[in-house]
Amino acid sequence: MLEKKMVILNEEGMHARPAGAFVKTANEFKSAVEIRANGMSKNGKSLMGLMSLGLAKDSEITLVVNGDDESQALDKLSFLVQNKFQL
Amino acid sequence: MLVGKNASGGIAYGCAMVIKTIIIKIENEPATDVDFECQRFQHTLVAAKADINKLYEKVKKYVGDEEAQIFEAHSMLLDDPELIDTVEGFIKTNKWKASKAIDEAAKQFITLFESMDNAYMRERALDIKDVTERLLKKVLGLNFQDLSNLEEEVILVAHDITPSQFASLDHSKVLAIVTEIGGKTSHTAIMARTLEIPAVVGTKEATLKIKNAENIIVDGDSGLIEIKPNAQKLKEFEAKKKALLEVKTALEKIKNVPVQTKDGFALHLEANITSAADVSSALKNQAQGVGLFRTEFIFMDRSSAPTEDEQTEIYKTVLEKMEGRPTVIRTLDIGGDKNLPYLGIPKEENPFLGYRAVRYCLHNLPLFKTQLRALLRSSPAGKLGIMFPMITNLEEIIACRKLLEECRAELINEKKSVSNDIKVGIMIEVPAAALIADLLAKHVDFFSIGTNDLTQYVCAVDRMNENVHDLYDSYHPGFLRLTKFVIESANNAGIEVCMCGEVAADPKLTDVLIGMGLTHFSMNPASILKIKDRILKTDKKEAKIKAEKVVTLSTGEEIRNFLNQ
Repeated sequence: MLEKKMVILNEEGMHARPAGAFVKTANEFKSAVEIRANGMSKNGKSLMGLMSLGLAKDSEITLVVNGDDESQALDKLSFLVQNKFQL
Repeated sequence: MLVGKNASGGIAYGCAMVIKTIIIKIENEPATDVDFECQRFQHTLVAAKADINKLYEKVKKYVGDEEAQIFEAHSMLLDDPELIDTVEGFIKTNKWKASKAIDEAAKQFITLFESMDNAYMRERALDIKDVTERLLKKVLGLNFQDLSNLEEEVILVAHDITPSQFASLDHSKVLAIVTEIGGKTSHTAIMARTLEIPAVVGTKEATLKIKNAENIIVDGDSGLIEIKPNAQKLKEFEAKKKALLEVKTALEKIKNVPVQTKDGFALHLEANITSAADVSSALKNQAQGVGLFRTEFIFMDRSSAPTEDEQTEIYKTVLEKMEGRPTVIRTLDIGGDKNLPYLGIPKEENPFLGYRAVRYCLHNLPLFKTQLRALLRSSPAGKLGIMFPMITNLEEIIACRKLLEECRAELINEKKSVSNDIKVGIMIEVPAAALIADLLAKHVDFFSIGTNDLTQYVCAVDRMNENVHDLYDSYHPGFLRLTKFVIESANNAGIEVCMCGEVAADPKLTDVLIGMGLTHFSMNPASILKIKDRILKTDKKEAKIKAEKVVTLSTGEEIRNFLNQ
């Protein structure tokens, strides 16, 4: 299991488009993906889950990835967050 | 034969598509076979996804990428593990049937999204509602009628058509529209006229009496509907259609003739629009400007008000498309029969006499200022007029103008460009304002007479109330006298006067209004050429005599008879 603390950088926060991009990418991997924020934990492969976290710009999140391809998954997903959800 | 109200002219013959209001009945009894319910749910997901993907492809191809994106999001929601797990959890743990589980899961997510602070997120509740409703209809085997993808030309028959349904219609496939409720000034009627689709509204029991796939004739001029017409009726239909086409061809010929009376007095014919998309039909009919852009439509069918940027973009588009022609944009006219749930206007006993339009806006400054700022920011793109609706007294005009100046100062401070040539005007639709038109004229650049509301207020008639509908009469001498006074007051003060209600598009009154001194007519684009034809045939001097005569007659009936001579 790998963990990484990150900050949401894009202006509009975790809206449909960024959340959609994240979910699409998360689904490319076999590993389970989880996002923890504001004392909640949500499935990173769920659009509704992510959006219901209500993440605005500057929100702190923890990415938790667990599975066979966890290191590749963490790399790609953290790059996505870092790069304001543009691949 | 059925009788309704003639809401949009023209005649059509075709196959009826009856839209039944679908009632979703959730299965509340416990599930007997949990595995079966899970399977049912899975099948529903697959079927709904196939539908949505088809919709996505079609909208992408025929409408555009941006419009299609909504369906991509819907498709993703159907794949969502949170949604799927919640529904399956409900089925397994609570022994619920699939429809109950979907409904409860939907409620849970909708509540969650609706409770968020962020307006954008609240909007997403609508997407979830849309998707889960689709699932519910599928799982219960209810027919899903998607009006944006009509395969063949049809005549739509429905209880009512909402503005958003209307907007999503594939207009090229709709021959005519029949609804059970609504009047000539309802939104369905207004939009049908803009798009030149024949419509009959207020047709009682239309969805019961007309069967799906039956052939019907809809006459939008008389308000008559013929079900399964015989050979004789069809012959009459063909003859009428031919006659209408001839009139249309004749009107086409006057398209490029200047708008002036026989004796050379120039007039202005402008269009009423509800969206940027309507501009093309305005220009097609040679509108010389926009006399009324009803902005409330851009506030409808959403869960929060459009932002300043969104509004700026829309107003700018309209101004650009109008290419320097005068364009009057009316500030939010909400309340009355047009409510927006997210504004939280309480239900009122007398909404038409209540908290509406400028009355509401002046108490809700953030909303009002957002719109005024957007209008000012769009102003460099064209020739803008800003119009305030439902003005009752001079104090309101002063308050509105002061706010506008405040917004202008703010924007200049923020280094945003604002035009120096913006006209500011008011709607004359409250009798008290009409009666002091001479005094108000000193404070504005133009008047626009809103005849629908003015008639309703002058005659003290709720135009939606069937029992008193007959008293609503724009030929009432009281209404015509007041109109004359307003026009003369504007002319004496040297300001522009426009008429933008239904009366402006009534060819029987065109010469009378010209005789009273009206210079600007604004109407649905489809009526422009018809009124132009009347203007070309009018002699201003004769019209003046006619106008003087009309206001001496004592009843609406007498006036009608006189004008029919």
